[in-house]
Amino acid sequence: MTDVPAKPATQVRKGRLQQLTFRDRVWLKFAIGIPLAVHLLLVWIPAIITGLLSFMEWENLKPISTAKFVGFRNYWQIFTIFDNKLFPALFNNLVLIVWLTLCSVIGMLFAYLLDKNVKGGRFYQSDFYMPVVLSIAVVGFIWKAVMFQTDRGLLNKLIPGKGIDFLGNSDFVFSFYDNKILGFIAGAVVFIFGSMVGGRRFGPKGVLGAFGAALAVAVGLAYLLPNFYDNKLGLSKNFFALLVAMAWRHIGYVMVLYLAGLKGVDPSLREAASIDGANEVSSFRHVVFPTLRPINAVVAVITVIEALRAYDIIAALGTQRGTEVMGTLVTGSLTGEGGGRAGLGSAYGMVLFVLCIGFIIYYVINNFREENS
Amino acid sequence: MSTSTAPSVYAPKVKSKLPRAVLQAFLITMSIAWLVPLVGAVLSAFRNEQDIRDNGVISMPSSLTFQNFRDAFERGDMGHKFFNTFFILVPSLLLILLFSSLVGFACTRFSGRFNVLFLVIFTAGNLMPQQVIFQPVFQMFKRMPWPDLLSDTNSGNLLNSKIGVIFIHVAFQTGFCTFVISNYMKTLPKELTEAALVDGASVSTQFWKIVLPLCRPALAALGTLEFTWLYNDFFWGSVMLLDGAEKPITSSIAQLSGAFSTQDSLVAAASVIIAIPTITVYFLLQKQFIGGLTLGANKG
Repeated sequence: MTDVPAKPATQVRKGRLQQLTFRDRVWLKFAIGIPLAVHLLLVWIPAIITGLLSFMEWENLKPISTAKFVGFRNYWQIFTIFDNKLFPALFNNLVLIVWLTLCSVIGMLFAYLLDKNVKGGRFYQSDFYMPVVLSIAVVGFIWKAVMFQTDRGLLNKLIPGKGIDFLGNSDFVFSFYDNKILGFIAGAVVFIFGSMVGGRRFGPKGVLGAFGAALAVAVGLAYLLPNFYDNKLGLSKNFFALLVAMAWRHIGYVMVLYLAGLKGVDPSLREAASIDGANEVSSFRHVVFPTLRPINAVVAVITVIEALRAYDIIAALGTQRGTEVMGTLVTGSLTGEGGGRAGLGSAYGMVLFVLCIGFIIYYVINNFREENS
Repeated sequence: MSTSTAPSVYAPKVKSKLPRAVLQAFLITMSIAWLVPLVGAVLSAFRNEQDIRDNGVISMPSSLTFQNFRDAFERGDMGHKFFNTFFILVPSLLLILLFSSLVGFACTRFSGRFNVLFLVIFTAGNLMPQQVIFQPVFQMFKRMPWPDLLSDTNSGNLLNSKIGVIFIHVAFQTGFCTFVISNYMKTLPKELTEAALVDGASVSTQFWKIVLPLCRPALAALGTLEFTWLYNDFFWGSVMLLDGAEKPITSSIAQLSGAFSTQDSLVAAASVIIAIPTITVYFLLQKQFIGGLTLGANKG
């Protein structure tokens, strides 16, 4: 790369490969080559293979030569009326996205409050953050044993009356099947609102805009579909219990990210705002929030990806009925009993992949844009 | 554990206005709510099952006992599981940090045509959902012959082998670490390695003697963070290590609760035992830990 224009001094000074000895160049090739090979072999190539397998029919205990191409049949199967797993799982993931986004906002609030130099701030910070260092599987069991236990858990002690089976009850808190009109209206509202926010807010590049719109379509469909299919979609009580445990962990995580971001807010800006008579809310909205934009992008991606990848806490507690998400659906359809149909499982996997890829691309563009320009 | 900072919570600020008091009240309430599950778990772990059953999880214990810990450790085969976890964790951690520093060094200190592309591949790869890649990896490990010399199971392939899990962790986590460490290396002045280049130092000398020592804060932060992530791994340990004896520590709690589902004190004790290493690391290296997270979030 000697054809770099000579304008920035730093560019020219950067070590050029031509200046290096043969040994050094080989060393550098290996320095990148070995990690890259391992990464590609175990992350990207498997992802591509999953993509290919999703168009095939293959019993995964038999030799690979028995796999045969079946086109979109796997997708047809999982998306149509005969499959009653995909939409409930997708719905739960959707609930998780909304829920964890809410938790992220609370985490931001906590960070904002702690940033005010409150007494004992360090204690609060450690306290809120502690659950994050725990394994999410362990979090599930702690909540199960301490809070949710039917006859002696704390929540059941606090709530009077007969013990509630928090983790076993798959009845819906609310559902969109019973009331078709409500479901339709909710779907339409989310659809319109989602595409508006997606299109307007995230700017000129439009990647997130486009993806926001796509997500809105998915949301809209999730609400609308039960009107046409006999799939009952809704938030089950035991999944809600898990959501509470996940919030316990997620809020602290987001709080720490925002705390770091808030340290970067110029205090004189805030002072100026308060001299100008800005109240708490408007100084946050117009001074603090804009400077947090890079963190917002990171938190948004982390939140959505965490919501889509959710697996541990649900699987560790045995994937109760009503708590199925995409992560457990993909894993369950590829392992254990009845898990032999690699093609079908891969199709589930690709649905998850497609949901994630928009956010991955957004994250990457967001991070590497300035370097290219 | 946290008593050193706790007293200040209760000391009211002298010149406090009402909003301060409201803020403190809110934070105290929230922090208590946050502590309850943890305190409940620790309390349950020290009590016998009958006591909890009679009095509830949050109540004065009639007596304290270590028996639950002994039982959990024994029945959950936790000594063995700890060994498995660290057998996977230590080499993974070292390799991840080495690989990511190598890639970061080569991609940020030297101009190459594909540098940005490489960094993009690593960064994006880390965000991939693990469930999407696990089936092909599983089949690869199952069908690819592997020499016994490099194996811990001598089964001829990598399925059910801790070495295999090390490979996956290295491949997966190198993505995140490369992203963080390359951002860190960009902030190091160019003149440092340039002077070495003029002096005729080889690229490998520049890496080991100049750049790597300067990256110590970033490596410490990443090491702490990755330690907890690898230690807490549940997915790969449970889908790749099918044999119970090979599974890592995080799986022992599911196993225990499956076998002794009515014994909450046992499950609580197991949770506490599993949490001890990460909580210890967190309290000893809190600065590095949070630094690691925020290094990833604040680019550059």
